[in-house]
Amino acid sequence: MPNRNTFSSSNGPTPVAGGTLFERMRRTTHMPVTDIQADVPRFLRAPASDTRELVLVEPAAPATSDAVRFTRGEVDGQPAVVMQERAEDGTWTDSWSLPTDSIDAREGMMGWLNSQSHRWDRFARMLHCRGSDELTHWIFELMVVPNTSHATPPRFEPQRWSTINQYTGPSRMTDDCACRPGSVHSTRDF
Amino acid sequence: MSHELALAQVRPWGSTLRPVTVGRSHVMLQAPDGHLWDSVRDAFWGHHLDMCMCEDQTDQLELMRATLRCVAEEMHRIDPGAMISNLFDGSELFFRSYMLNLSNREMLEHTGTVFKHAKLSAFGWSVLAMLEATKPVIVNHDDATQQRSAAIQRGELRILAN
Repeated sequence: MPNRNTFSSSNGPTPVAGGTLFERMRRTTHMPVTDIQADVPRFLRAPASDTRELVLVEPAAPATSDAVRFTRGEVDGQPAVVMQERAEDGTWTDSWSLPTDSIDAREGMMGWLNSQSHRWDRFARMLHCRGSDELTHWIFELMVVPNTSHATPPRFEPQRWSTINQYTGPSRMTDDCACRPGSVHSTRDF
Repeated sequence: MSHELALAQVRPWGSTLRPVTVGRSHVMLQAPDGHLWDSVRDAFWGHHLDMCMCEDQTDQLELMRATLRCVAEEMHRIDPGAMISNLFDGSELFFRSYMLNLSNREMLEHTGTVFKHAKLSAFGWSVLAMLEATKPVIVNHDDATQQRSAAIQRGELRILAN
């Protein structure tokens, strides 16, 4: 049973900054070139003479596109992000938009989209190939989870953060349930 | 192109192969097991992939390069139909089999997901860098292998230009 503690990095007992599941997901999805070995123990790597040795360097500047851009807008009075494409004559036309729940959500979405400038052309291409719904699906896929093993519903696991001994020993409470008489849920008052 | 930016940051596969001079001036590449190879593509095919060297494998490596590049450009997500029709003779079965093979060779990451979520692994990036750097210019259009390679290159251009 792998250690599923949210606040530890790969296998270590010590919590590490940037080691939460969310942050690791973000690293895995959005920075594949720079941070691929975050979860790989280096001591298990092959020796340097092996042909599979890799050197990956952080990209100096992100790719940009001058044909596609994302701006803030409104759809039916709701804050929205808008994709604009540049026409031949240089004018920008709206081609896709997505309403968001709040201005904060829109800002978060804009921040993420601005970090994806290498994909802007592909977003436009997806829009023209497969339509706006598929583009929306793709953007949400990219934003949320790298693969289905991460696509688990959030679980209420109070023992993970409420027990002082949560980092020691094997986790025996993984399958704990309030319906069982010996479980922490039934013995503690939350 | 964005993938070229990424390629510039990756050390290509085979960069640690040792050049060995045979005779006075013939340079070959020595794999870690001691075997000598004429080119880095040969070393990749024969040593790393452990494939038979009996035939000209140019078209096979071109198909691998074109597929890796299309995955790097996320065409398998945007327009898999174009990949299937232009690179895989219209056979979805062939496409799926090839993607499985690439992930089995650790060039793709798609653990527990469908193919549309696959992406290049670090190793896949380094292989793509090598294959792009050694992409052949097709000159002999009478040869069947060269014809197939040229067709793959045309198909790749069609996918990426659409």
